[in-house]
Amino acid sequence: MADLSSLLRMWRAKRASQEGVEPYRVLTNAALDGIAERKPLTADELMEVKGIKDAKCRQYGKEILEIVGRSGAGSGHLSFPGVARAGSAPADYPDEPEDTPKEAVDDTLSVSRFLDGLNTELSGMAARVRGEVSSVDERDRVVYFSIKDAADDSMLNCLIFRWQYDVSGVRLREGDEIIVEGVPEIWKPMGKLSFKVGTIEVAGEGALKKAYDELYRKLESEGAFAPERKRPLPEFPERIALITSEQGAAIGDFLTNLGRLGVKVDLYPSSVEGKRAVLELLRAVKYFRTKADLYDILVVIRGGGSIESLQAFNTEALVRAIHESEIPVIAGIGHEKDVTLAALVADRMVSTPTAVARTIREPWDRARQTLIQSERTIVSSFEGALSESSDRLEKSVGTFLGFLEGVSDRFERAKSALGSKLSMLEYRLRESSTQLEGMTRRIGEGWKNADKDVRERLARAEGALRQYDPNRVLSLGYAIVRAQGRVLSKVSDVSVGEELDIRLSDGNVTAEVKSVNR
Amino acid sequence: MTQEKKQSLGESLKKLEEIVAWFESQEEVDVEEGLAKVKAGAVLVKESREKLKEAENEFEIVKKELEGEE
Repeated sequence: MADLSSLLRMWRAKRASQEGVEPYRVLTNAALDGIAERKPLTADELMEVKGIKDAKCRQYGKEILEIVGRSGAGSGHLSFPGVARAGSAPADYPDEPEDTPKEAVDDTLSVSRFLDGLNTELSGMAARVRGEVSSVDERDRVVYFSIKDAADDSMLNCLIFRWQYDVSGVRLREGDEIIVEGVPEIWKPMGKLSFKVGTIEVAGEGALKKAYDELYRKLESEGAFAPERKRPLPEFPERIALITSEQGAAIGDFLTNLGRLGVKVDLYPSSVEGKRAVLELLRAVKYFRTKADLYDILVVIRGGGSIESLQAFNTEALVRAIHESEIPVIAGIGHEKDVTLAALVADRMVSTPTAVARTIREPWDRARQTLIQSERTIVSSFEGALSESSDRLEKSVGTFLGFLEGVSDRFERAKSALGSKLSMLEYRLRESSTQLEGMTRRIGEGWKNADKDVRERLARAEGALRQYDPNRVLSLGYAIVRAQGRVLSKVSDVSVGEELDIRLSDGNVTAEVKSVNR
Repeated sequence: MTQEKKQSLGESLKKLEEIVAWFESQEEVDVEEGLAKVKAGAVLVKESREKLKEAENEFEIVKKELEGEE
């Protein structure tokens, strides 16, 4: 059995180096080969192997039997070409000095072979290890976690199958101190060493947790967490003092969720994790303390993490500084499961940066809502009141309208009365016009009647006119001379030899022009 | 100055709520009195709305991480 033989040789090499002796001092090649041949499962069977005596059996018996037992299950799994098959050496040289050089034919290995070899070796290194859980990642079938050494931060990656984890009854939490039992193994694709855990047990509280609890009790006894110590947050803070890291999700979450309030946010950047965190956080708190009158609220935030990463917020100096802040403090440091003492002493504690932003914003949202609601209620109540009054008013209006109707009736009556009056007027006008015609006629008749008068007056006028009758002038000696029917008034009107007709008062004389003198 | 604004916003809202309570408590709202309250309410609503108006936040880093004094 090459596998078992090589396993036994590896075991021997390790044992020899542990004891600081030559391999053959542990067991001879012959003895190893005998074991590989015989595959003893009990101490008695082992004793039957040549070269194994009482002392060797007591000293190595248990380990050898384990190796034999394991190789039975994983037979054919591994071989180290370089060290395998050493069994051809002569059997009975109890003090054979060393494996002969000819055995080391070629000891160059492929990576995979080498890791296989290591894993074979590691499989024999089952151990029980104590440490503090520093991270947990629960998956469906496997739980990955790591444990740390409290003294120097040495870390061991572990994994446990889900079913084993569930059976263990232990819930892994960061900070818990536990004891695990298992076997180391290298995961070949990553070359990473994991401790394959079979059992977990709680080893008592981790150092951090213990310190946390001690400080918690101390602060509690001082009344630092007392509800009556908590100050109410200002309803509408306008100047916000902010302490967190410039990097990371926390600040973004906070600013985004704060919304557009038109407030002023002053950030004092500080790392929130690691060795510098406590110092920087303290400096930030102190800075704002010197300017307390400028701020309405102090916001301290960071994302969640393990108890280790939140360590700064569980440090007494910082916890006390926050506790003594003049500005009301709201803390959003990690999630519920890892409540920090700094958060516990704050005036208000919520789980996340986002929750802090919402807490600050909430009164503003509520005020906006109140505003809308109040406006609505006032308007509708008043409208209600108005409509009640308007009912009463309607009645009055009814009366009024009734009155108006009365008026209108009378108006209608008046109108029709007026109408008939109008038509009467029209009739009268028409009548008048007829009368007028008659009158005209009568006036004409009047004229006739007046005729006689007129004639008399005419006669009188005739008498008067008669005085100016040309004939009367003629009778006075004047004559009217005509030439060719024209009455002459100038000598230029006639020429010599022209016949003149001269009218005298009682008759005419015809004469001839003899001469014309001027 | 922030104090002043802050208080007056809180006070405005309080007064507004008082007016609402008045309207809600009234069996029969007197129109004259109601009108006066509505007018007062309108002023408060306008003031408060002005203060609650959405606006960008002002963001400032008051101290650089590295220029600490210690």
